[in-house]
Amino acid sequence: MAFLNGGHRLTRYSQQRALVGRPAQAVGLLLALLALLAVPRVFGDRLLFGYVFTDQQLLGIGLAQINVALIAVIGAMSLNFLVGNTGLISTGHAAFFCVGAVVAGYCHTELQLPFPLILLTAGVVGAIVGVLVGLPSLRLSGLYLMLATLALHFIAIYLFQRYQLEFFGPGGVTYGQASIGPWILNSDARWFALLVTCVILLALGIRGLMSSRHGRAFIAVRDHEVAASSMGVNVSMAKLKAFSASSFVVSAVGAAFAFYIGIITDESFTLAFVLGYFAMIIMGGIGSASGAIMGALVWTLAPHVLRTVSLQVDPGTPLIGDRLATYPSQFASLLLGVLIIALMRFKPEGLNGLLTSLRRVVSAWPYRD
Amino acid sequence: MTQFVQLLVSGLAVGSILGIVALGFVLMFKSTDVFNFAQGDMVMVGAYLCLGSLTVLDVSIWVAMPVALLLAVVLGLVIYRFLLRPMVGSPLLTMIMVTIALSLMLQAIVVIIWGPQTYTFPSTLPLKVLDIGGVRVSTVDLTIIAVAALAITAFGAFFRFTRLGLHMRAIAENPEAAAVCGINTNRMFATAIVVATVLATIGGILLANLQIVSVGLTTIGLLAFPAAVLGGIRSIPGAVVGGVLIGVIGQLCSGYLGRGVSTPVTFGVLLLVLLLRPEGILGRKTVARV
Repeated sequence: MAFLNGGHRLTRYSQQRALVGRPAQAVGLLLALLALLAVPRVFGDRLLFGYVFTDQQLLGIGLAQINVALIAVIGAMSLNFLVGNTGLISTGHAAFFCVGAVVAGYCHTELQLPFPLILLTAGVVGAIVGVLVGLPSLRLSGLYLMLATLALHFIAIYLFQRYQLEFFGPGGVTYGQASIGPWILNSDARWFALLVTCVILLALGIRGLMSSRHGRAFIAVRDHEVAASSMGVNVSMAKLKAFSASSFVVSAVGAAFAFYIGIITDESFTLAFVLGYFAMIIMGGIGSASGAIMGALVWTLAPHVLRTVSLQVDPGTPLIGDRLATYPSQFASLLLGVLIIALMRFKPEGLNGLLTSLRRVVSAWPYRD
Repeated sequence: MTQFVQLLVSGLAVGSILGIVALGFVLMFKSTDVFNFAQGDMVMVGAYLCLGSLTVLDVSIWVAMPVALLLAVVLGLVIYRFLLRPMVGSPLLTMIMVTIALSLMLQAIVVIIWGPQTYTFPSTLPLKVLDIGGVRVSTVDLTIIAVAALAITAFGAFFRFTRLGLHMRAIAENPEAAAVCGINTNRMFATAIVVATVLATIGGILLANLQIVSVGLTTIGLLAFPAAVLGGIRSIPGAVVGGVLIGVIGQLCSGYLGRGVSTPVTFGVLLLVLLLRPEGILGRKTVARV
């Protein structure tokens, strides 16, 4: 492999900034696009070119699980943007999902706005709330900011409870059908198309933002605030911009999540929800968007995979057999916890770090890197 | 007025339990610089350890409690050896993630072994309602306050008067200087974590006597964070003060404003403290190098 990649050093900045720098990358992107097009057929209809997939072969993952995973991917990418790229440890994630859900509920039932406008409104309201949530970050940092946003999380959940009881009742906030113009989102495949488009747009957006001067300002604020401000970066504005951008996306995806699930209660957004997002981005690799994608996919799909695997285990196996059958999600949590600790111990850069090391080892083979 | 005093007493009971848990948390934070997200889960595990010794060993609760404390020591040592010692020197987010993972695993293990249902301890504390001058006070609350005060005094004496306590205080003040003075930092780290686990277990057993043994004990243990910050996250007496205050505030809120308001209000207090006086009530302002 060393002889293949020996001469591909980049010589121009435009090559680095381009989406497709080398012909091999174009082929890879094309294959990825074809794979994405195949996903609804494979995971939804369980059929591809006449070959029928069994539940076991697909590890028990259906299109609904993939859609929820994609929503988590969007949330994880925006949290990674906030925590990994700007260094603002915020546990207010669930609060912004709540904001999105509340705005969606209000706009849907009281104002009867169309779905795309609801998403936009949720995003804008989320951005404004994000600026408010970001104000403590001007005084606090690190651990203290995390505790402050934790406090805001509980306050937001309480306000959502009040909203739910006020307008809807203890059953939860309900949402009707979503449609983009005449195209009604009434099947998992259509939601998949929408969500994949959003993921791709978000990834391109983050990539573009991070390679601009705003992105460099965010990284400077993360690494050393005082040095950043002495280089002319307006630290306060950078932090507030980061918060509002991240919460715009999270609130919008919260609104989409509300419409997809159909019913939201105050139990939907617990502390475990927030810590799960932290686990996703740290497992994937802090600061890397592709890491956030991988971490989110692993975290949301692992319980389903494990449930399918546990069905293969004979309940008669001593000690864990029947427990595995009764509590598969707890075993999934246990395994994920062990995985996280192993990653933190041996590869703190996360899954993205693993991938990068693998890429280096493969490209330098048969020599050592 | 009577309602106020009643709420005050029950608030003191919950608050003294929170004070114990926060004490362990602050001690661990001062000595090891590890923000233990799993403190609430340790409280829950402590209650379940006592339950386990009750059911498995089939002894009276007075024997089960020391057994649970011994098991807590073992748990603390396991956490130190396999989770925290390999991670010494890691950045903040990595350490937080490890404790979050620990919290996840503890919750999963508890449900796997005991199931999601709730249990009650056999009634050990005399349950009578005293009427003191028109105020109805439960003896359970009073006993818990007494036991908690005893536990806190015992640990206070341990820190003040024993050699091990002196070493632990040295580590908490300045680990490098303590190492230079010849104190075995690794052993002290382990002791700090074990003490935190044992204190959380004591808190869990008391809390389970006050309420029930369930996975929901985690959320009550979560209140140890506002308690520690309110008192001063680096102040050991501050933790007790903060715990008592948070307990009292929580109960007063539940009583006067209704259920469900106490959590946001308590965390709202945390937010105010962080914005206005981040070093807490008994903490000192720190100076950080840029």
